[in-house]
Amino acid sequence: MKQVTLFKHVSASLNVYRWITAFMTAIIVSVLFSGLFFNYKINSDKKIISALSPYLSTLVVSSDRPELMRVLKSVSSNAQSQLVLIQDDMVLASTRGLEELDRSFVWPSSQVQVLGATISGHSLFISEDIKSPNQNIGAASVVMISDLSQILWVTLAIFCSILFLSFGASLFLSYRTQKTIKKALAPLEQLQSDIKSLIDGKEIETSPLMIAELEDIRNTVAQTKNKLDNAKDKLAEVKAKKLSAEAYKSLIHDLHNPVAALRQMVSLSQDETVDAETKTEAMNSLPRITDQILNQVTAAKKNLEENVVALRELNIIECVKDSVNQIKALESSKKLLIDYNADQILVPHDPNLLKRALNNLIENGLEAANSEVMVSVKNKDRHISIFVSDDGQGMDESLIPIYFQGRGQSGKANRQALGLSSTNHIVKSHGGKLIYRKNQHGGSSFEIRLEAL
Amino acid sequence: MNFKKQLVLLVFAVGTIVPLSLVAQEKPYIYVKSIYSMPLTLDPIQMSDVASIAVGNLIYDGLLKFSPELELEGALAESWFTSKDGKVISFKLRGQAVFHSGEPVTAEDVKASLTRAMSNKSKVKNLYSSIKEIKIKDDKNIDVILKKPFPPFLSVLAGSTAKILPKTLINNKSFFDQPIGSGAFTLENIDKQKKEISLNAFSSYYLGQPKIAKMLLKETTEEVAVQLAKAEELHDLSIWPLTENNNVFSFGQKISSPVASTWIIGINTTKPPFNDLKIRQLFKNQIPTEKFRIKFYPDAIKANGYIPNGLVGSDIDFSVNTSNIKPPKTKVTLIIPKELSRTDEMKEFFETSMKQQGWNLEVKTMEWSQLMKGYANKSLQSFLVSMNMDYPDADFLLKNFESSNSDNFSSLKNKEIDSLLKKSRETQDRKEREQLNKKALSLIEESAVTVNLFYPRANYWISKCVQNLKPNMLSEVYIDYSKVALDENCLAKKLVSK
Repeated sequence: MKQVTLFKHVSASLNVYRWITAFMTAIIVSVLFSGLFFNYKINSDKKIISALSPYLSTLVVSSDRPELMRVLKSVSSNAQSQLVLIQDDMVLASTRGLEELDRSFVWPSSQVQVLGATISGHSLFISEDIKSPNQNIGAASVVMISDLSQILWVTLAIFCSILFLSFGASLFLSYRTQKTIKKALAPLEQLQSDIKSLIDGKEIETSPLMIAELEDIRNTVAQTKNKLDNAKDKLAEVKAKKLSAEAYKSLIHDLHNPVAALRQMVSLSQDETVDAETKTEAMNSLPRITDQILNQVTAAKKNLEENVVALRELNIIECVKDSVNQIKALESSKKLLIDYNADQILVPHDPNLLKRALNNLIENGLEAANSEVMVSVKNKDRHISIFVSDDGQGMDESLIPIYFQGRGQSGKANRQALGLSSTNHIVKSHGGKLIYRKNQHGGSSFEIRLEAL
Repeated sequence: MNFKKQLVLLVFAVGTIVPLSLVAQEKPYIYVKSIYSMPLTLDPIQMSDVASIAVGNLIYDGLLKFSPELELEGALAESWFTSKDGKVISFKLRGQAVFHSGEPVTAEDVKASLTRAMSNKSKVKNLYSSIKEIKIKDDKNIDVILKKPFPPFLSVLAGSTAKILPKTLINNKSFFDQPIGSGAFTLENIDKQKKEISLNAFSSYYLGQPKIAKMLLKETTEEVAVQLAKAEELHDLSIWPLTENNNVFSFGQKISSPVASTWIIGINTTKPPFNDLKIRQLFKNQIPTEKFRIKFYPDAIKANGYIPNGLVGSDIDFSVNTSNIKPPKTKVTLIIPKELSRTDEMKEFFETSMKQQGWNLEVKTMEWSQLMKGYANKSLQSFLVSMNMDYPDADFLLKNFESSNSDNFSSLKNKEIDSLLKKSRETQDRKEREQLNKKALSLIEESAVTVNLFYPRANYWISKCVQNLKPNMLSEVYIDYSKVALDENCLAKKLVSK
């Protein structure tokens, strides 16, 4: 469904009613006007004829046609109507032309009687009898014929004017209504903004909403958010504890082999039955194995002490972007590309630790790469994967577990390679996995795989 | 067709069409109007026949005129004002009014013309008998002072006799051979042989140059007029009393209007047997007026009285019992105008119907000019005429029966009628005048000097190419031809189609 603005929605909803209202108003007013005018015209014309009747009857008695014509002509020009004086059905005088005189007056064939008057075509016929109190003048009457065109045109003009005004008033009202609604919705919009701010983790509008119910809703949302945050923090804490216990378990697990190896070498060094060479080799490997164990414990201790995870449900894309931008600012000799298929992927993570892990991977990648490193984020059904791939030589896959455990030797300096171990620990702290494989170009591709929500 | 032949044809076509179109463009169209008789006179104060009045109204103008609805309008007078006592009427003349000679119309001309109308040589002096004095105030302002207020006087000044003529020329003996007026048209020529009168539009007419550039008045009979109209050689038959079902209306335009006219059979009380009142009354009762109307003029209106319909005095209700009177054996002659159509039928009709009632009636047709002579010298026993009004007031027709009026065709002498008319002229009260006139009319009816046949309805035939012709309720002679026009496109099409 297409979204429309509030005004358009209100306007569209009111459209039909606007037209109907405007039409009905225009019709009612114009009909009322024409009815009133019509009634006034009929009464006025009848009064004119009645007022003239005594004088006209005198002239009819005298058969004074020239004077009758003169009087009728005068009334006609003032009343803007035609007048015909009929006596015994014959036209005695008329302002419509001489042709009609001394002929029978012909009423129009199609006529409608309204309020005591006759309408035919666009003419109004009003007839009043003339009576002489003293003499018999036969059946004498005056017919006043008015052109209704003017009334019709005026009625039409009024109709159009009222239609236009009603429509305009309706538009104005809907505009005012829209403004009022907008004003009324301001608290809702404020509420919406505050809720959005809460979601985005920003500061909310401190001024209370003017609608009490909405203020209650805002407070409830804020409290719910706080509780949710607290619950998340607690969950994160619980998870962190769980992950910490997992890390310890993992350390113990990882230590099993080297400790077992140490035991073996000690046993060999003390076994009388073993030849001297074997004894010597066993004796010589003891320090190395011990160092390895010590390194692993040191790395694990470092990880556990320094990399205390605080999980929060945040947009992991932002975290990846920050990391990439950070590295880009420092290193620009090789290409560092980023690829992601969504603007927002909410994943519980500790952005600081994850950035550290990513920075480590990216720095390693840039060091190992020939020309470019690609950082991509993929949102899959059950997990989110962050890939850091380079186009370098790649690593010996058999050594990867050693590096992940912190027993590996750094290729850069004569010291322990703790980066990958730290990264691995951080990923594990998130409940995820750090996976290595060689990519199609032969370079390294590390995948941080985190559980999806 | 080879090239040479095509070229010849083209030249022929161009040679035919171009001159036609040039003729159509250059030669102004002539408006041809039928009249039933050449005018008997062009002197306004001698006119009593329709033909003369019709021509006079084209050439001359008066101070006032009648609108189509019989309202008084200013003609040469720009404005007028009647004093409270009704005795002084002040006129202001239009500044732009000029005679056909180019001379301006002045108050001097007005005074000279009205004075002439009042003179003894005027046939219509009775109309102006109320004038006491005419005072010139300046070139354009003049007062007419009446002896007593006479309500119809302004109507008299709008009539056909009150025309203003140039003072400096009016006394020339040959003036009326080529008269000069201030009307819409100037007289170009009177061809007595062809019986045609040519008129030209007066370019300086104060209401603007008439749209008809040239007009030809052609004397014809009604039947000939209709034939010429069908042949599109005539544009105007308004002088003829056509019925609305006349087949001439199947082409052209019909303009219909009532007119202030009554068709009557006038009866001369000096000619036996009509010197007997009872015989006259019997004759009046026994003429089948309704049958005559229905048979010959079905769209006319039944006549209630002598005064035309729609005018004060037209609804006189009078009857007299003649059941115990017998028709005389003396021959009665009824004259009808020869120029009317169906005169043979009319003759047959009247003779047969009256014979059936015991009358010895002979109907004769007579040329109009002869009939008018007989009317004027009162030599006719009875005659059929249309009594038209020069102004819409009963007084105009009533004065015909004044004992002192030389125009009294019936020679009726009734002192009571004379007295009533005198009183009527002297009162300004409308109602009182009406009552006095009605009384006089009743007496006239009682005197049976007229058989009132019908009130005609004017059905004017005009060509489809004629525009703006508006009928006048008084008479067709008052149609304002200064506004009438010929549609040149219409005429050009007719020319091309011929």
